Amino acid sequence: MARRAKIIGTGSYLPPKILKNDDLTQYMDTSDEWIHQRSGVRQRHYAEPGVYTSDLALEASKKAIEDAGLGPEAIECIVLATLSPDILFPGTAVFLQQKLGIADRGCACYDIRQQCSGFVYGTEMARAFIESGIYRTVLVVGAEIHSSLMEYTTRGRMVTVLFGDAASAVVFQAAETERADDGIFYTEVHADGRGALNGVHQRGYDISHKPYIDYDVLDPEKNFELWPNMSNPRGLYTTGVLKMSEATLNALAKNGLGIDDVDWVLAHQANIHILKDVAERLKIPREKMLVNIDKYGNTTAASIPLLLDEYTRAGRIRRGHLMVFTAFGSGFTWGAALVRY
Amino acid sequence: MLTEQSIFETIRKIVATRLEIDENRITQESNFRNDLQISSIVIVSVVLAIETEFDIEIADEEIVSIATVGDAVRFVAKKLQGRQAAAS
Repeated sequence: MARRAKIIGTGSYLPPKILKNDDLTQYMDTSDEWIHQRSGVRQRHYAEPGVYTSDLALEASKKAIEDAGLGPEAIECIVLATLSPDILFPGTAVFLQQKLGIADRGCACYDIRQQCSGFVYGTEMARAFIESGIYRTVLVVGAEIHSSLMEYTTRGRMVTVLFGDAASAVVFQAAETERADDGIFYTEVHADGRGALNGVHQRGYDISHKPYIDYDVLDPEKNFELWPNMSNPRGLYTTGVLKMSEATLNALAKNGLGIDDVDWVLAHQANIHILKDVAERLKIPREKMLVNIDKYGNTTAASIPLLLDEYTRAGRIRRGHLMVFTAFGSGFTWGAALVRY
Repeated sequence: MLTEQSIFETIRKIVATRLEIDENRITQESNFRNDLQISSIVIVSVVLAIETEFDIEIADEEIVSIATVGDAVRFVAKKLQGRQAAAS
């Protein structure tokens, strides 16, 4: 018998407002065809003003906890991945804990800052906490409000058109399993800080400035650093394809598995062309590479759990299926996890 | 040593797969931007596949000099020749 972290519940939340590609043409020089050809995105969801990342996280978490057949008080640890925290500090996990109504129970709260790789990093943390016996039940959430962070001008279109708001959550719980390759049975995560400012980043806050915010929102020259900057699109694309493919193949090789053993690849939804290139390198049929970027855009930390929730609820991912989670993102950060549902 | 014809066939396949078009629509004379209307992101994907397939590196400034499929074929052939010359 092996102690493994099993997925016992999933849930997602999309804010109700939908922005189609054509809706963005009022802000920038673009079109549905321009965006779709370059990214595979057709639409994205946007949170309304006044809504926090922790509010989206709350709705997703409530669904995941309900799906697990538990109450919020069963959660012993919250791991929340986001690049769009509610405020600068404290982290967003404590806001989520309070909104779940379990603040008085004092469970552990972690915020992690690994951008698009956040959920894979969170999966590794859930595995480590559960296999070591520190916690029995861990809630891992990816939640993002990108829509407030974007520049709605032609200058910003390369980044702005890609992203959407969403939250998705997974409840992992300890189980004594018959087979060793059950639940999360392998993870590897990596980072290469040389990519920190050589890919995609957002400086809006800079502690070396005195005071720490130094921009004039009305001055396009001065506010350049306020918005996401994609300094090296080719490097980002190429490194992303190579690292996700490499981590996936390495994970499988280390476990004596081949790509044919895999039922589903849940790769971070950054761009349809990246997903196709990774599928080609993994030599898997396109239908094993799950895709929902057309409906939600890039939702950063929420993208892999959003796929997981959508495809389990649709009955496509079933108990016993072998999944690979793989992601690459700003940092650079990347990784892969092998998970038997 | 790969012939220009076999390099062409490999590149044609890489481009056709990415544009989801019939391979026969691609000739040495096809211009990536004007005839194939390839977007910059798909060019990145094509370049990455060519780099992997032929085990070569292509710098950003070299990409700019490639306008047609034939340019890409001759570029790869030259890189491979250069490598062979360096090895001998």
